[in-house]
Amino acid sequence: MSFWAITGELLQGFAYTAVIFFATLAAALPLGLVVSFGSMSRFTPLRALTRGIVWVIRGTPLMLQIIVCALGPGLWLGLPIRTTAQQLLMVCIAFTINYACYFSEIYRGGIQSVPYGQSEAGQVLGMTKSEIFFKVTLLQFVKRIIAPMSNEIITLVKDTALASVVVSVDLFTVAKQIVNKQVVLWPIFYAGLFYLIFNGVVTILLGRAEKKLSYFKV
Amino acid sequence: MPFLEIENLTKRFGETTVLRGIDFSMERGEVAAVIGSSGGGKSTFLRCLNFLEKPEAGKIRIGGKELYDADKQYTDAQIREMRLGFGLVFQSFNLFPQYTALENISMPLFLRERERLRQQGTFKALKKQRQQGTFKALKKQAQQICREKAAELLESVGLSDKAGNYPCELSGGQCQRVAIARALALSPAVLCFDEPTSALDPELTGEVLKVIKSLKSADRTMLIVTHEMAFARDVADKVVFMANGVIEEQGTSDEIFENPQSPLLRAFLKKADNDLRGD
Repeated sequence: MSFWAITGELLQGFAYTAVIFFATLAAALPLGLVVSFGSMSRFTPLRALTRGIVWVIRGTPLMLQIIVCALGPGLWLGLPIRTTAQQLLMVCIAFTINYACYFSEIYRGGIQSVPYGQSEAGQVLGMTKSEIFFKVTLLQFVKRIIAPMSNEIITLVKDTALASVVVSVDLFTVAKQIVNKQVVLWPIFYAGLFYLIFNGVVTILLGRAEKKLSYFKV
Repeated sequence: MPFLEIENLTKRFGETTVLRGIDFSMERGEVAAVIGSSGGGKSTFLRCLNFLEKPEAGKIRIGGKELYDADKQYTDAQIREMRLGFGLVFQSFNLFPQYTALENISMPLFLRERERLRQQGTFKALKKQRQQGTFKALKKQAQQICREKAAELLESVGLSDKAGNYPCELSGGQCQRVAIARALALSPAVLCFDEPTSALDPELTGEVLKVIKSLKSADRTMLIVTHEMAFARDVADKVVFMANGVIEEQGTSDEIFENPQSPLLRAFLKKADNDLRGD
């Protein structure tokens, strides 16, 4: 196989990796906020339930969660996951649940670190709860969480390689297949370069977001 | 009839009773300074008036009309409405760091204006207005009016040149002056100050006190919790001494500072005097 043929195959694998990454991010970012509200709820059963789920998800390997999501429907519901699209969907669900739990703890820390006086100032100015959240707290909290979120998002880029437990189309699996077929090692390092460049782009974008919010101090 | 009447205001935190049935009244345009040692209930008193704390008992009347009765249940929206009767300037300013000085004042003002616009028309009428683009125009116009009012208020506290600055670019005194302008924006019936100079360096205290003094007018009722005895003496029509959750003594500044009756007040004033002399 020529260098360009391998590049083409890796790019195809990268496209699936990118799908897993963006789908997980798009679903886990808002879901994490919902989970964080649950874990901060004054309603004790909801708070206990949410924190219990977060504990289980953070306390068990992501690989195990992917396996449960991929095999669970077939084993327990009689709905076996067969097609690549179904497998990708289940992988994305596993990633989303896992990352939403991690994001939720970052959100919780971010929300709780905004001084309570900010919310009180909003209250005495006659703002509603949603106005206080969207107009006062949100941007301050986003600024506080960008750095820890960058860490998680970079980890997600690399974690997508774990999809190879279930699907055989992602970048890392494609690279492994080429290595096995061609009996050469370099494609696996070449795939690593893809992850490195992807993470480089993500780091630059998050750095820009951080810089954009540097106009105020919290 | 007094403008502000407070009856039997009681607040507990768990087992601790912080306010023990406060009875208090003020005339319109009056300035009252609340003095007393830390832990005496002064800040809690202001926080109850602004509904940041829920009193266990008591009634509040403004202009003869009942505003709040602790025995009654209120919705969040009603509490929000009642809060607008009182403005509060915090000790630590609590400006919103992501907004400029001007936006800190105009943003809450615009939110209330937007709410008023929404309440004016039915949903159908608003939808029609939206289609015609008039709602957008109304919104833009309201935004402009709010910005103009905010600019006027900034000018009144001597900060028109700082309109575009963020709180992190302002000194503590300037931040507090912006906070005062912000509290004034919603034209509260009673403007409360919770130790407005306690977080400031001594050289910045003067500029804030000067602004507060300049706000004194026939129709502006102000309630100021302060540790600045000279300021209380100079500005206040009425001085209230609070200790152990009760109003221990109140009267004109001459009565309180020249002829204190309560032993607690006498001890407090003596200590304040000694602190000032550095004894």
